[in-house]
This record gives sequence, structure tokens and C-alpha cells, in this order.
Amino acid sequence: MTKPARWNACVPTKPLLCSSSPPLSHTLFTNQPERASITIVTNPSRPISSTVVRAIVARFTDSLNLSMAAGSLLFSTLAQQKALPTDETALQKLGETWGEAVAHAFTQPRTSRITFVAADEQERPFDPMAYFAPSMAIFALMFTITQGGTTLLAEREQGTLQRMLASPTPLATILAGKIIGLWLAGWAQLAILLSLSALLFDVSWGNPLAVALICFALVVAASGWGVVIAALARTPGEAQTTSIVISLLFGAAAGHFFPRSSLPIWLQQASRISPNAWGLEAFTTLISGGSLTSIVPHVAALLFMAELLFGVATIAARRQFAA
Amino acid sequence: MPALVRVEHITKRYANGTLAVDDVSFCIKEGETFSLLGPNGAGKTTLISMLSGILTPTDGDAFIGQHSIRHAPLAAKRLIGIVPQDVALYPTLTARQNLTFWGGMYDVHGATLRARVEEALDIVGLREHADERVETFSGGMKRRLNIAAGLLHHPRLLLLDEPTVGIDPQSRRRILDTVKQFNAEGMTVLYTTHYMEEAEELSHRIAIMDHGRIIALGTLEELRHLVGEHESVRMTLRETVNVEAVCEHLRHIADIRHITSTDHQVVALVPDAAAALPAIVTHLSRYHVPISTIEIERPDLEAVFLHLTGRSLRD
Ligand SMILES: Nc1ncnc2c1ncn2[C@@H]1O[C@H](COP(=O)(O)OP(=O)(O)OP(=O)(O)O)[C@@H](O)[C@H]1O
Ligand SMILES: [Mg+2]
Repeated sequence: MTKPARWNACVPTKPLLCSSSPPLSHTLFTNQPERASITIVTNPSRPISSTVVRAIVARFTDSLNLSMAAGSLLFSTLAQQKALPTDETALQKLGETWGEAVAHAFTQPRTSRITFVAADEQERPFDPMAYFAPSMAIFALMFTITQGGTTLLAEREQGTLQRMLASPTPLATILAGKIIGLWLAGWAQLAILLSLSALLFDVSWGNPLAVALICFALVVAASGWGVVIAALARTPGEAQTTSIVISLLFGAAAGHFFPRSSLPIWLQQASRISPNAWGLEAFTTLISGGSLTSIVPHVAALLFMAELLFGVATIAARRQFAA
Repeated sequence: MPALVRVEHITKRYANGTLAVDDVSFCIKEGETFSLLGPNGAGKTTLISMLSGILTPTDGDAFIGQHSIRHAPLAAKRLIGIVPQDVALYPTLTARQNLTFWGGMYDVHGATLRARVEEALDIVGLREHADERVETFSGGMKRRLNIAAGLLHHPRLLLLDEPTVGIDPQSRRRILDTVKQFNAEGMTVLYTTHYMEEAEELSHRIAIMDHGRIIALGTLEELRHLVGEHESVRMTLRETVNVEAVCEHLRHIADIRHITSTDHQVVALVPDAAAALPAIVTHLSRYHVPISTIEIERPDLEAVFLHLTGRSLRD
């Protein structure tokens, strides 16, 4: 991945359309087309931006080809219909006038051009921050929250958990205190990261209620993984290592570093067990204009995941405590 | 005096199959200091953990006040102050912060809590170190703070699990005196130890535990009686002597009922020390065993344990 990637596109040397009266004859290939190439040099560590540039160049060459095909068709039809002057100078004149008109039309903003806008959607520029800001927020959150379970194990190791169990404070209160503390830390972290990226990078996160819902569900689901790790691990060290590995795996599989669509299908499907995949999809849906209802499935999935994980943790913890 | 603690056929079998406490029953009267004496692995901590609600018994039950630890654990726990065997404190918090936290866990709050924290700091003599982090404390200071954390709610029953293990003599003395003082003020104390001197000094009654069972229970006098009219002759030998060989020689003396050795000491259990002594000395001089001292002792808990199990308490 160290070598910069290159793509070559074949385009005519003479610009097809330029503002200063391009003769139409120049837009058509005579004899052999001369070759020119556009070389795109990309940074391999920024796969998204190179994909974007590549797509733009491909679109540019496509539209060139299309314009040329349209021009050729028009003129050959006119010639067949004998609608073109036979006189060489008159033909030249016609070509130049037409070329000028077309060039003028293109320089004029939006003169009856077709723009692709899907129904119910506004045109949005592609903003990499809209993808990376939620990715990084979720990635960081997973680290914090999955390690939160470690504290419970550390307390067991230093005996303070047992001492708490000997106090008249019920176990449920102790655990609820731990979990809610963890949640508050998670929400605070998300609030900071989301507001910062809104302020510094102009990310607009969308419907605030929907954002709050996603944050709530995301933190709860992440804490589910935290408690499962805590319930299955034997030592704080073991829990910490596990949570780092899980955070990294989930982050990669859910597409925080490169788009999920570039991963194998099975991995894309498997990444659904991570809060990351659901959270990222929910955030990007919102950022690209999704409504509150469009993220309800994601929130539901996250909460369902949390319920499942807390169930597993309870069973696992009972086993450990019986030992 | 009514019983404050009633333990009924309590049993604990760990998941790995270890039977740590095996059908144990006893009572502790209000105002009593009761010691559980036993070697490592006897099941003392397991028993205390069940009484304090940290572990659920496999079988049997125990009552603190009238509250069953199985059916009304929270009410039972309110009466108990626990001092765990291993220091259970937050190392990065100060002494005062730790005490404030543990007081809160026992529903002590506000001005009462602040007063109790200061009181507890005074009792264990850590007021000057109140605002230092626990991780900077010496082992003895940690143990003292560990005790203070069990006192904040003025418990009726204090469970102390080997509070003097591995600390300097001054701290140990201080802890023993503190326990005596609590008891003098009316607190009931359950004290576990494998030091017989501590059990002898502190307790009204002593239960000797071994392999998960209580093998003897009574006052010091009652336990001494178990050994019968035996006395022990404790011989301290020169460091060069092969203690095992000496024991072998001494076993031939008819009067000696039992013999054990630790380091350079040999302890012989005899019905009458004065009568047995000439034979012992003659025997030792015949084999040219150099003796530093000979002491005659009334039976102590060591002797009781030896008598009951054939093993030494501090193996
Ligand atoms: N969590 C556990 N799982 C399995 N076995 C255990 C567990 N805790 C203790 N044991 C075993 O139960 C027995 C009693 O242990 P316990 O800690 O109660 O003894 P103790 O009298 O407190 O010993 P010590 O004087 O060393 O503190 C020992 O054989 C020990 O190995
Ligand atoms: Mg113990």
C-alpha cells in the first residue's frame, strides 16, 4: 500500500469546451485521436478521497464521451436530411456559431441542465467529517465503556466489592450505581465529542432528539459488552485486554477506518453484533438528512442488543459468584 | 445474656468441590469476645464471609440478632461491622475519603458521618494521616484503617478476620488493645486468628477449627481440661542439633504422651512435668544434645490443638 495508485483516462488534447469561441470542428475527432492522460496520484491511506476523485474523473470522461456522441449524432442526422449547407465556409461558420452557443450555455449557471436529486432529499456535498466524526466518537466510546467493566473486577481483586456486599446496601443498588456511573461517563464523552465536531468541523448532526436517542442506546449497548467482559474475565488485566481487542475489532468491522461496503459481505453482516455498526449507520443516516423515524430501527437494535448482553452477563456472573 | 449470633449447621462447599465449612453450629452471647482459632485453610474466612453475607451458605443458616442471613440479609448486615482479612480499601483515596465512603455504604450520612469518621480515625490513631492517600500507608496503618472502616455505623457485632497478620509489634499491640476496649464498651466481637496467644488474651470463649469443623469449643480453662492434667515441657536446643533425631530418642520415654518440634524447639506433653523431667534430661545428655533452656508450661491452645489433631497449629 505504499505505492501511490494511478489511473489513466483518455481525453482529447484539445479542450472540448472552453469559454473563448471553440470551433465546433475541433470538437470532433479527425483521423486518429491524439492521446492525453490525466494522472491521479492518491494517498493510499486516504482510500475514500481517492475513490471520490476517481469517480469524478470517470464522470468527467463519461460526460465528454456523451457530448461527443450527441454532437456527432446531431450533425450526421442533419447531413442525412440535407439540412446542412454544402458550402465549406458556411459549414465552418455554422460550426463556430454552434460551438459558441454551447460553450455559452455551459458557462451559464443551471440553464436547463438535469441535476440528479432524489425525491425528498436535498443535494448535499460529500463531507468526510460527516463520516469520520461519528466513527471516531463511537470508537472512543467503545474503549471507555468496555473498560468500565474492568473496575468491577479490580474492586473484586482489592476486596472492596466483597466489603460492599457485606454492607446493607443491596447488590442491585451497588451494580446500578456502577452502571449508571458508566453511562453518565459515556454520555458526557459523546456530548463533548459531538459538540466539538459540530463547532470545529461544522458537522450538523441532525434532529437533536434523534441524536440523544442514538447516544442513549449506543452507551447502553456498549455497557452491555462491558458487563459481559467483566462477567467472563477472571482478572482486571484479562478484562482490559479483551475490551481493547473487542473495541479494535468492532471498530474495524463496523467501518470506522474504511467503508464497511469495502469489506467482505459476511464481515459486514457479522459487524451487526457491534454497537458500532448500528450507531454509525444511525448517525450517518441522520447527518445525511434522515428523520427521527428513520433511526428508530437502529435504536431498537441497540437496546435489544443491550438486553441480551445484560442477560448473558447475569448468567455468567452467577456462575462466577457460585465458584 | 441472650445470644447475638446463632449459627445452625452452616455448610459451604465451593464450586470446585472443596468443603470449606462442614456443618458448623455455635452461639455467641451479646458482649462476648469469641475467637475462632485454626490453622491456614481451616475455613475461618469462609465462615465469616457467610455470616457477613458475602457468601451464601450451601446449607444451614445463621442468625444475627433475630435476622436470618438467608432471609433477612440486609437487616442482619446492619448489625455487623466487618474487618476483612485482606485490606479492602481504595488505595488512591485518602483515609478520610475511604471512611466517608464506607460510612455511606452503611447509611451513615451528614454530620453524624463526619463525627464518626473523626472518631474512627482517633480510635486507630490515624488522624494525622487522615488526608494522605492509602497507597502511601505502611502495612500496619492500612490494617488499622481497615478496622476503622468497620466501625463507622457502631455495629453490635464486629467480625475481625486475622487483623494482625503480617504487621509490626506496635501496630499489633494497638489492635489488640482496641479490640479489648470495644469489648469493654459492650461490643460483641468475633475474632479469627491462628495465633493462640491472641485467642488466649482476648477471648471469653474459643472455638478451635480444623478442616471446616469446630473440633473444640469452650473457655480457655475448659479447653485446657481437654488435654487432661497434661503439662508441656518446652526444650529449646542449640541451632546445630538435628531436632528430628532428638524427637526420635525422646519417644522412647514412657511418660511422654506426645511430642512435636518447631525450628529448634521440642515440646513434649507429659502428665507430670516434675516427674518426667529427670528422665528427659538423662536421655538428652546420653546423646550429648546441647540444651539452651527448658520450660514447663501449663497446657495452652497449642497443646489443645496438638492433643486433638496430632498436628501443630502453626505448621
Ligand atoms: N473461592 C474459593 N474457591 C474454592 N476453594 C476455596 C475458596 N476460598 C477458599 N477455599 C478453600 O476453602 C478452604 C478454607 O479456606 P478459608 O480461606 O476459609 O480458610 P482460613 O481458615 O480463613 O485460612 P487462613 O488462615 O489462611 O486465612 C481452603 O481449603 C481453601 O483452599
Ligand atoms: Mg482466612
